[in-house]
Amino acid sequence: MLALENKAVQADDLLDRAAEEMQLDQTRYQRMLSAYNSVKEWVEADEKFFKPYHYDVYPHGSVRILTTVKPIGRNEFDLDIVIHLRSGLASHTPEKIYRELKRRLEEHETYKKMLEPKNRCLRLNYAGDFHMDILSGVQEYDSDANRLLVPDRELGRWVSSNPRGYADWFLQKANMVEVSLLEKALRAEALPADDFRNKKPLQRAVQLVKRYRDIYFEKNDEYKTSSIVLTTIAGQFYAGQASIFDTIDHIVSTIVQKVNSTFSRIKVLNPVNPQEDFTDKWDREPGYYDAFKNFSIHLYKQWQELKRGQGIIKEGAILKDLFGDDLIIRAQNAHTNGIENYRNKGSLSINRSTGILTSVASTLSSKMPFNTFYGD
Amino acid sequence: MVTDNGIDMVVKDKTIIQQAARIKVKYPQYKVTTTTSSIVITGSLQPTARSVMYDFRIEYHLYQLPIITIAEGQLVRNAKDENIPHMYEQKSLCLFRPKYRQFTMATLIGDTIIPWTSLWLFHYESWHITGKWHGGGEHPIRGRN
Repeated sequence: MLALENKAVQADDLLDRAAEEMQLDQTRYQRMLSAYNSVKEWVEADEKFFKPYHYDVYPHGSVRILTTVKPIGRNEFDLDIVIHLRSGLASHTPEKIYRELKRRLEEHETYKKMLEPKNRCLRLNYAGDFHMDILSGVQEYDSDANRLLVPDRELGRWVSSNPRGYADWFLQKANMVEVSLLEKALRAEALPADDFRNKKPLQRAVQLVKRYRDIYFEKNDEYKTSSIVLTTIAGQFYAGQASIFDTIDHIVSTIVQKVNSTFSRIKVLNPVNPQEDFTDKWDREPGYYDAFKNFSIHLYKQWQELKRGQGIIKEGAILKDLFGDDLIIRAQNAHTNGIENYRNKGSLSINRSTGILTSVASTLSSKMPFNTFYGD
Repeated sequence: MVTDNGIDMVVKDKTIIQQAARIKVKYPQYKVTTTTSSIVITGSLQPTARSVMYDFRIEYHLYQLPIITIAEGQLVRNAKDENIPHMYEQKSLCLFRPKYRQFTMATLIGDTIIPWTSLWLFHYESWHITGKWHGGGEHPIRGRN
């Protein structure tokens, strides 16, 4: 069991498990991959338009940067993919590629029924499972393999987009910390790192903040803060903290400090295209900014409460309030089952100076003899 | 089994002095008061690094079951206002089933009751968070022990 006597590791272990509970599971991820490959093959085989072009197809968004969160109350995850034509900009209007992609998808018996046109992308609904938002675009410059122009139907023109560059930026931020607190604890006990343990604190923090956002705005989502804003602001304010707990603490403290000290609103610019302000509508509709401020301040206050160390029961109540009962119950169940496994194997001890349960036997610990709890 | 000096070693009942000595060696931070036939151990412990400290009191009279209590107000009912599981009348902790002889007069309190108290507290906290007691155990049928 992971460093049971280390409070910070234990807090992160719970947050990590909670984040794991709500993310995209492996089996669904595999289904998404195969769906994505089928779409790719279908588009590539198109004789009428797509076939002669060189292009890349790749996922972007939360699946690419590993910050997926299962939505509350429905079962579908989002999968964002890009069809990126490497050339052809000179010969096509913005509408053209979008229309050609739509035409090609409509030629497919199954895709036809799943198709839902959106402003910048085409959506395929895999009912009850996920939906795939397909963004199509043409590379903007030969010299930059990541930037592309995508059609914006409402604006009726091309807009510059850089989903792959954004993902690289975010992952670089996440990798500011070489070894996370949990990884370090795992190594210390020579425990194998599960796949999910490989997530960096920033990725876990973004998942948790997004889930908190879904809960906070569950009853009234009129001014719900978008995932791209939360993800970007988290990446911008992250300073390489090794724990999930400290990462959230630092990000939210920075937000609150900035909203309190700046006369004008804070802006969240696209890190790979500073001309783009993800929060430009906060000017037109200040309700968004107010909601974001209150949302951040609430999280900040709750995190300060957690830092006071009032014990696991009070902390559990705060965490349930933030992230939902279900998530915290499942994370705690997993933890408790881990302890019970050690107990049943006869390898549970207590540290005699503190009373803390531990799986590491030493001269300072005593074995837990077998017992049967009794009574009402 | 009878040893050379004629003392019957089958009976390994622990004296109060032995119980107290064990606590003093293993848990020097705890307070121990004794009479010839009883011992009271008090101290505080936490089951996990994220737990608060709980003040416990173990009172044991020879030929009786030890009574383990947690300081007034430190144990609370859950949000659903349910009884705390595995307690005698919501007053003391039920750490073992007497019938199974997991604790007898031959058992050292320091090696059993104290670890079990920590384990009980762990499950008590987990019960608060999850709504379920995951520590196993049995419940009395009226009139039996």
